[in-house]
Amino acid sequence: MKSRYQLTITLVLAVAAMAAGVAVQRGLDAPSATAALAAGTAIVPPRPLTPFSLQFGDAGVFDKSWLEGRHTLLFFGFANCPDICPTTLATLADTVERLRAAGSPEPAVVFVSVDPERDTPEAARDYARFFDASFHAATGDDPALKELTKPLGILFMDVPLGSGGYTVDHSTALLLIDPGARLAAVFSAPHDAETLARDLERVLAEA
Amino acid sequence: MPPRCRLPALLALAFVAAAGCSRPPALAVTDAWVRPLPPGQHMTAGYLRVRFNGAAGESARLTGVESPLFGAIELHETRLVDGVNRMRPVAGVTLGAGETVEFAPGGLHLMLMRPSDTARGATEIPLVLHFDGRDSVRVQALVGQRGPDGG
Repeated sequence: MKSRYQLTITLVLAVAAMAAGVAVQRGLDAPSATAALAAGTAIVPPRPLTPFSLQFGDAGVFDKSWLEGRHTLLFFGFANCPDICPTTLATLADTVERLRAAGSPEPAVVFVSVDPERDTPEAARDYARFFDASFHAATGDDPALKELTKPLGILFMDVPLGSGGYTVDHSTALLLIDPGARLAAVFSAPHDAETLARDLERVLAEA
Repeated sequence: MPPRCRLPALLALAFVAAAGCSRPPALAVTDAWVRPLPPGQHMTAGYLRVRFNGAAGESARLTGVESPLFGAIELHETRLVDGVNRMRPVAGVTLGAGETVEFAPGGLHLMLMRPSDTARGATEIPLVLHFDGRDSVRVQALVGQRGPDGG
């Protein structure tokens, strides 16, 4: 029979181990809002953005420091895009309207034009604001754009059209950046305002 | 009416009635709408539904669209390939008997270019759809923003 001292230690350790086990199990079971996105995929752990510098339509600088302290949804497109871009921006406008109606915080929305040849920062801003007055827009030259898009896996390329103009093939994913300027979630097309709003409401409430 | 004229009159009436008799048009274009032109932009998209009520074995081919309010209209198709949006021109759209083709966000769409001054503030855009070897179909497209399902 061990000494009473050793028995006490054993019992204390056993109870501590059980308590720790229960705590860990509770932690594993706890539902995480960001892991359960209906409209997209959470990036866990969130991936820090690499430095970039673009120009906002209202003459500010769009860079990592602007993203810090707020949630932002990034959408990449171009103003001469008749179908997907207006459709997505209209959906985003609908999404933020739903969040506002629910009294939920809303993310900032930044439309990044990947067609700087035709879209000046001001033109991109006017285009984005047409869908919602709060939308921001930014652009920059090709190398500056690629500093942001490449690490995020966003593609874009000019494609000539028979009529003499060109279109821009581009990724359609919506990227959610968290207040630490980290990629927190990716929402793939097709985008649905109701589902997106529900996901965003949960993520922003949790933050 | 003199008795002599009654039969011819009746026959004439019968012909007129037969001609005016409603028969479903071979081509029905419905739910046409156009997104409003954003400020400073000279191009926008149009959508609609086309149904061909032809007899079995018949087909109809949409080859172009025109509007007095736009200098040029092209047929395009959006294709999402691995998450990348690719928009490509389409030469024409063939409909088989009884087939309906939808021009909707994320798919087939009209690209309306070179807007006239009137186009910008218009609430309706008149469209003329041209089909190979068939009469054109005229339709009024309503201007407005809609969601991805066209609703």
